[in-house]
Amino acid sequence: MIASLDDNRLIFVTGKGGVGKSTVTAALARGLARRGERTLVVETDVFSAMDGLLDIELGDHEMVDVEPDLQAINLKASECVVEAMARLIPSERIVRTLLGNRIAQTFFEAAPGVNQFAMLEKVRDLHAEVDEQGEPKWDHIVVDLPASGHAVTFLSVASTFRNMIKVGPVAEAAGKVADIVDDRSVSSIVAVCLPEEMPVNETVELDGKLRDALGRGLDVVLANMVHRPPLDGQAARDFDLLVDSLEGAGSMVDALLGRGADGTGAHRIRRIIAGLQLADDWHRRDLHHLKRLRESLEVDVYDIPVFYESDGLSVARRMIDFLDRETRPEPQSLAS
Amino acid sequence: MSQPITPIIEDGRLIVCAGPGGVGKTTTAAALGLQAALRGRRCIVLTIDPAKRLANSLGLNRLTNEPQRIEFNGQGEEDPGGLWAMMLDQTETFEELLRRNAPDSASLERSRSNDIYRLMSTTLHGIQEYAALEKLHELYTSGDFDLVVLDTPPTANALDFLDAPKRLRRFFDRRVMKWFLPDDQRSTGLVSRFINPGTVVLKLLRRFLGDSFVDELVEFFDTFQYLQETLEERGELIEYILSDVRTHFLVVTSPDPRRIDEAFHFRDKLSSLQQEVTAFLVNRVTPPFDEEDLEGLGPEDLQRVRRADAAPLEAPDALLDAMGEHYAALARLARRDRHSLQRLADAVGQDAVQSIPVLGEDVHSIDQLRTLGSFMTSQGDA
Repeated sequence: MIASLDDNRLIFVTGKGGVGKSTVTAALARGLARRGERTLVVETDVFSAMDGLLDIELGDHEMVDVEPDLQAINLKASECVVEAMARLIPSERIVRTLLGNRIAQTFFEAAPGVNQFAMLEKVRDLHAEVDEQGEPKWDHIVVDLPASGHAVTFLSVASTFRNMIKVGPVAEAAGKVADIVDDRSVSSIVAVCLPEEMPVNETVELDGKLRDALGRGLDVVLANMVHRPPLDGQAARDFDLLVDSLEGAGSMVDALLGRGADGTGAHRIRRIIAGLQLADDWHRRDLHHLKRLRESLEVDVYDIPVFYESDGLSVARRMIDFLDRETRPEPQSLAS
Repeated sequence: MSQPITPIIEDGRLIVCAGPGGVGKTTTAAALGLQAALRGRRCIVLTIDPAKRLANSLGLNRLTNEPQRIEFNGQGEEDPGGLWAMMLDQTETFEELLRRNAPDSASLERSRSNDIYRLMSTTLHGIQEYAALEKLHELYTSGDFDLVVLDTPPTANALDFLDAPKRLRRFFDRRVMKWFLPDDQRSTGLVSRFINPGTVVLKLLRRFLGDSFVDELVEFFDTFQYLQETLEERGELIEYILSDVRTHFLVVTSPDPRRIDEAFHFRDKLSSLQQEVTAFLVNRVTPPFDEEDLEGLGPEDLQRVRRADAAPLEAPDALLDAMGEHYAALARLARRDRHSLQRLADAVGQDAVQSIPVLGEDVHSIDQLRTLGSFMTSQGDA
């Protein structure tokens, strides 16, 4: 497992949409739970991917047991607002008045930042929860944040509120939340990335924006779906020889798409060669972008290989096994 | 099989590209725009993604809040069509909105210095989606372009922008505003002041949000009263634009089963907003590799595709085995993709699905955009 993530109880996971952020979140959480760490996965009012990834049915705002030591919840923003008001406003009468007032409800629904703040305040509350022995109820809380474009906004909402509201219970609560989010010794921020042009750019940008907004950057980057070289050793050398000696210059695109294929051995070989060349292109592209990623960030970057499985659950399982084996303290580059 | 994309780039006035992240949505939007330009249309691609991605695919260092013309090979001086692109700068767009609508410079100044305004225009989303619609409206009605292609942010709340005018109008709702405006003429009478539930709420808000924040809030609503009308008007216009028959929604996705599920989610969300998806573009489909290709192959087949004078391979049997092993993994991926496409076609109809094969590198040049676009508008299936 990734050593630096063990230190902090709170782990925020973000990344550009589609990089496998939820899959990695699920795998990290399962990996922690498998080692006996009591772990909670938190989703932030989204179309939840956890059902497929953890093989559960996650309702709205409802704590679900996944396996021993692993629970999950998909926060519902409106519930978080109600709960936050109950926690932050000392008088039950005031809370009832506000909740019973349609205009007040409209205001809280439409006002910017209220939902995000209420969800973070809920995360703070979960973080502070203790069991019968007075020990923290969860050893790790893994929060699946919105995609990187919105993650900075989400994470900085507490300090924005603190600066704006200044006094009173909400300002105090905002301060407490901001202290957790801004402190590297309390929370880790993990970015999931793909070894591709735009995801790498966005990850580098994200680190900069986090530094500007929170005074801290990313802690770990996980490069997901890294393609290994399709062939190695003698086979790779023979393959190069084969490609160099191909008769006629057929189009690679035609071969890939099977245009003009007649089912003969020669045609099939050409398509197999084109397929492996495509896979090798992926590998080379990955090398290039991983190098760029490592050069642009002063953050540990770990590679996770691509798994050719057909469903999320199987991919998550393979990933857990992989992360479990990944006990070396040094970040590894698979593609090099 | 009919081809769903060509008619809409030839005749549409607005194409909204929605869909999960990481499927090449921004690049797809740019490729659609280029195809329209190549067909003689004046097209602008607007991205509202906070990350600067469209510029990457267009070979530009950066995009600005103003339309930038994109040069591409093969475009003649006299060609009627053209391609423009821009990236939304929400702060700048909101500023423009204020400048155009503020009754006087004093209220403009007050707006700018108000903390809540600054929070709204820079930090929090919602306003970003609204600003996008504001820009969309401007481009749509400017008369400069035949077609607007709108790229949406790749998040679960990507379609929030369709709700944005309604949300903001709710926020500036007169009923909400009037609690915060104690001097409002509408409630001058002692009795109405007394029974105004807002007075109670305001007092409560002061208790737990603090006086300075509530004062700021009151000032905010006071200053922004003038926006109320504009927002209402814009909201209606935008609803009109979105319901126009020449407005099309495309869901861009990839064959990853999870992204297909998300595509269904986008369709359902759109349908709840009374919008129909014109077509589903499935990007990055693995070429049709098939395990059958491996059957009965021997080292002699390797020789058959080689020049007669080529040096012998060191270990052709081992090479064929290693190739076969990796190709089988690619074939599994291809099978998964075929299954995904079939599942989508079963649900939405074959005619609404267009697949685009993955053929190699990232797209980051105009030529690659053109190739991508030609797959989008071709009959050939990946």
